[in-house]
Amino acid sequence: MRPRAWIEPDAPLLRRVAGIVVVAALAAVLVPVLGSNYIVTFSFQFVVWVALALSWNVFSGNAGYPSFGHGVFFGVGIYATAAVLEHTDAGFLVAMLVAGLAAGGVALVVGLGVFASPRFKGDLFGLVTLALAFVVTTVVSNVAFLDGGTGVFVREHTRGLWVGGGIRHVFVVGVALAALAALVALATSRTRWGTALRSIRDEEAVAESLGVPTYRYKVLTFAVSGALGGLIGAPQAVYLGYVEVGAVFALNVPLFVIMMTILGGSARWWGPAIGAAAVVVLREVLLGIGSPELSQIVIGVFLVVVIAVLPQGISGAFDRLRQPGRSGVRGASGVSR
Amino acid sequence: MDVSTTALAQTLLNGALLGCLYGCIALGLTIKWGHLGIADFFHISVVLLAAYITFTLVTEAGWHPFATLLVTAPACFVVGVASQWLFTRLDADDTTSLLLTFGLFIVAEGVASQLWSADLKSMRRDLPDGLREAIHLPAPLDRLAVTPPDLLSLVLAVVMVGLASWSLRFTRSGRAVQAMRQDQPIAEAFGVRAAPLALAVSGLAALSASVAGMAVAVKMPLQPQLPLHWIGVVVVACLLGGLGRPLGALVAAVVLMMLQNAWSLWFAPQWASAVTYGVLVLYLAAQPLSRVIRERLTHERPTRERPAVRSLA
Amino acid sequence: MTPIPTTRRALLRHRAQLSAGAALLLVTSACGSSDSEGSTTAVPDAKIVAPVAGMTCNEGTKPTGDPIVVGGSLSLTGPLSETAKVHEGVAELVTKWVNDCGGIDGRPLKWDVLDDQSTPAQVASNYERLIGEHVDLVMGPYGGANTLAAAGPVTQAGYAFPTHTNGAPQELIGENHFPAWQFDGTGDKEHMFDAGATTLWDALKSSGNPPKSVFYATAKFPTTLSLAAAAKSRFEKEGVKTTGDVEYEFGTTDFSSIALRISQADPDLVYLGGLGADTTYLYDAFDSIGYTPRSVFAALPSPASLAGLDDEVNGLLTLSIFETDSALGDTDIARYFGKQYDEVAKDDDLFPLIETQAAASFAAWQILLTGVVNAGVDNKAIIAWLNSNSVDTIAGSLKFDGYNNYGGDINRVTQIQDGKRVLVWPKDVAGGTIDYKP
Repeated sequence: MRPRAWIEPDAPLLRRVAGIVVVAALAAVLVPVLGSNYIVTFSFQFVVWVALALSWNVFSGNAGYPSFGHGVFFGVGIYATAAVLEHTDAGFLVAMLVAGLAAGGVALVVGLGVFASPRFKGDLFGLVTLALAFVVTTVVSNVAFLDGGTGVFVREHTRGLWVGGGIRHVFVVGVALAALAALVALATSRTRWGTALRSIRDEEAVAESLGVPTYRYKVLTFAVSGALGGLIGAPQAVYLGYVEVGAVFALNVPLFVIMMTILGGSARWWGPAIGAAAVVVLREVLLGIGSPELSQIVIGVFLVVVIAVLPQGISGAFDRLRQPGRSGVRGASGVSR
Repeated sequence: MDVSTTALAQTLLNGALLGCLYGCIALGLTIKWGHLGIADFFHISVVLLAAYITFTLVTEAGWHPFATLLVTAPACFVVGVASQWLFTRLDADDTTSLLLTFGLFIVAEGVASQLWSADLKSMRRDLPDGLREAIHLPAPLDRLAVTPPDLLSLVLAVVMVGLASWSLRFTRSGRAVQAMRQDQPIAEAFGVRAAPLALAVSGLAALSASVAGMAVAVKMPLQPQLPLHWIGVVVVACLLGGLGRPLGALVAAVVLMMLQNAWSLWFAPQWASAVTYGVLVLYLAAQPLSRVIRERLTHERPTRERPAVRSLA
Repeated sequence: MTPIPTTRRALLRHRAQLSAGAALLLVTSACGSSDSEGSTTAVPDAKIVAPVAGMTCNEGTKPTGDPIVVGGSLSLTGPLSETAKVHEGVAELVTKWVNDCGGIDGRPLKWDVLDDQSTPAQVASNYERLIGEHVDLVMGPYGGANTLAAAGPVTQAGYAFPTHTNGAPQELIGENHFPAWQFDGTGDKEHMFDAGATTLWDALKSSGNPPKSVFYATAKFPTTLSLAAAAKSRFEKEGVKTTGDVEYEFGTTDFSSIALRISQADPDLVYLGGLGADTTYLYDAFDSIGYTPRSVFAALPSPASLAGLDDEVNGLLTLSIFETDSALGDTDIARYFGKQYDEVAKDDDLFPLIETQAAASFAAWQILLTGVVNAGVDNKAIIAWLNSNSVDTIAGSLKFDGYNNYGGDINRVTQIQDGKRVLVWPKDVAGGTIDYKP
């Protein structure tokens, strides 16, 4: 496949940007005002997953490098936030910034090393990022400044802050970050940047020979993806109130993110958001069936079946329905919720 | 030998034997990964499931652990064939199959805790006599001890890895597998029937899981989360040993575990698991370096740079 | 694949796999021996009584009216599920018990549980969901991180928050927090674990042969780190030599190097700040190098892990807030609880032994029920009542008047003696004396 050479005209792009901003603003106002605490909490978890899935897709989906390390970036963000709030008097915004920078920095360093060797793609890249999760877990649990094994009680340090004023405030931050992730995702679907990434996915050697600086694209995009994952860790740290290594770096985070993206499909930039919605709702519904082990099995089987039946995910199926014979990306209608 | 030398020797010995167990687990994975192109996480779960079946047969039905292979080996073979059939059927690329096996990995953990509960299951009490007591080595090494389950891992690792390496190298089908890996269309043109061969390889690889599972059940108490503890070492061993090379994975696992144990003896044990990943990180860090070196070597080859290389040797 | 035993013999065999300790109890009871009197399995005919003081049990009366719904989140899947299922079993047990007694003021009790998959994020969301569904009362989740995640929404909604296993007591929850597993709240938050360390030291000293040297091996886990730090500082104050101090990653299964270090130091006491199955894996490592430790203290081992080790752990010391073989087990309520728990354990495939986890779980329910019996189904009234009264529980009388609503430390020392768990310290609740000669 040749890299796609087209760039969409600017008017629809602006319309979509406006769409994302409007939807996010409406959500940030309406959900906290109209929803019960439970609705807001659920919505917060929902936007966290949307942000994670979208940010994962920015690099892994577009460039075809499946990362199992997204939980690490999220976790680094959570711990960076906790550390800033615990050890300094800086506010939440600073903590969030540090969270993004720290996670992005980790991704940058890893990317510089891993992408230097053409061997580390596909499954090997996945496994290296999996190993990254173990390394970071060990480091955090042994460095007293971050955690040292005793956990960090974040709630104690957010009591006087605006963001510590309840789930509604946390939700507003979450929505803003999900919107940011959506904007970046949109950018990767509409600009040269995205075209370059997809050319890497489709035929990396060809892309390189055509003059696409694949190494630079991969390293920087991986860092952006990691930074977004870290940013969303900031409100999560406040939401949890108490962070502990075992729970923060659990492998189910990258797993769910990947499942969401596969389910939603990465053919469209908004695919992962649809996948996140489906998985979050499915999980919440399965909570009520009364057999927890069974629901774990159902989720696993669900993933396997989705891969088998919908290799392009829901958004891919959507494309096939709408425009048989053409796989170009067109006509997304803002943020789908 | 003074005390600390003994301790070091003992810890290295323990590490080497534990490495043998990981080598057994890694065997099927590295073969599937290297020769079928599938990084099969699920293989590690199959090892645990086989271990659980061994546990049940030994504790409920009073079987000898070795006899349980009569059940687990065919069962695992079928699982291996079936999973390969699924992958072929879905025509999955390496990314998709990785995700698929991860899905199965999750399902397996759920199945294990559903059937055997999340409690620790130990069959230490039901083992035949003499499978538990530590054996002291003959003089002059009489201060060192090994346990029969560890020796079992050693024997099984040597036998299985030996058999696998030998058949890959010297049998007709083994060479066909190698050929297939290098270039499937050409191999097929020369009469290699790729599909059935892949099924058989996958089945045999999974069969090794039954043996590894037996060794695991004999050595340690079981819990559904164990594969998560193994996955790091096993995967790193496969990578370092060279994909598709059973002996490489075994040696890598042995070396890794020896390093890790020696580290825990001298330094802070809480960093022990980082040793394995540290080795991996070093290996990765060496990649850009080796890339530069490789590029330089290929560029300068025409001018014959041999003396420099020789002087290093 | 776990069979459901149908005959008594099958049951015996089934249990045998679960534990030597339990099998021993069953065998002794089957033989009519009297030395296990008071143990869970030996009293099959314990009479039903009300689960808390101040409540009357009207056996045979069917409760009517609106149920009193108690909501909770438990880690029924994932890494915490092994122990969380104990809490689920006790919750089911208590609900049935109360309803067998005709309910509270004629109203039946209903337990509404959601699975949080061992993730704190889901815990917080689950409590919001339960509160949004207007449950009348809530019960805490399992474990420190989950408890603190739940504390946010629960406190904000003004619910009383009884907790069974908050392992991070120093993190402030507030006036609505009613912990069953109590650490010392009479001083400041830095010293909450000191009283427990003193209990351990006093137990060792009472043997006449306190250890002169200790090797500490502690899991990187909040509760175990706090316990070990307090124990170490106490022991060193008593002049006990520290021959080694290592920490290991939570979830470690290969202890061979740590075992070697211990064998090199050959201390009087091995202080294992471990959880769950750590003890089993450490003993495996001792086996593999042919070393027998002089004595071992294990902080928070799972009962199944100890029982699975047979006679090898004879003499091992551990922490527990309750043992059946103690003065605490010698009450009508404890006996009936023991009988019921045995049945629940059989049905749910749980380990049939009551120690910290099951006892704390029941005690938390007793706290909540006592609050309801005295103040009605009204969280504000319950909070006020509990803050100014003490509650009699299976783990002793509990008060909520110190730091973070903790009263006095209730951690006790248990020793495995002849395959049985015996509470050996403090004296007033002990069921036997410590046998300790390192």
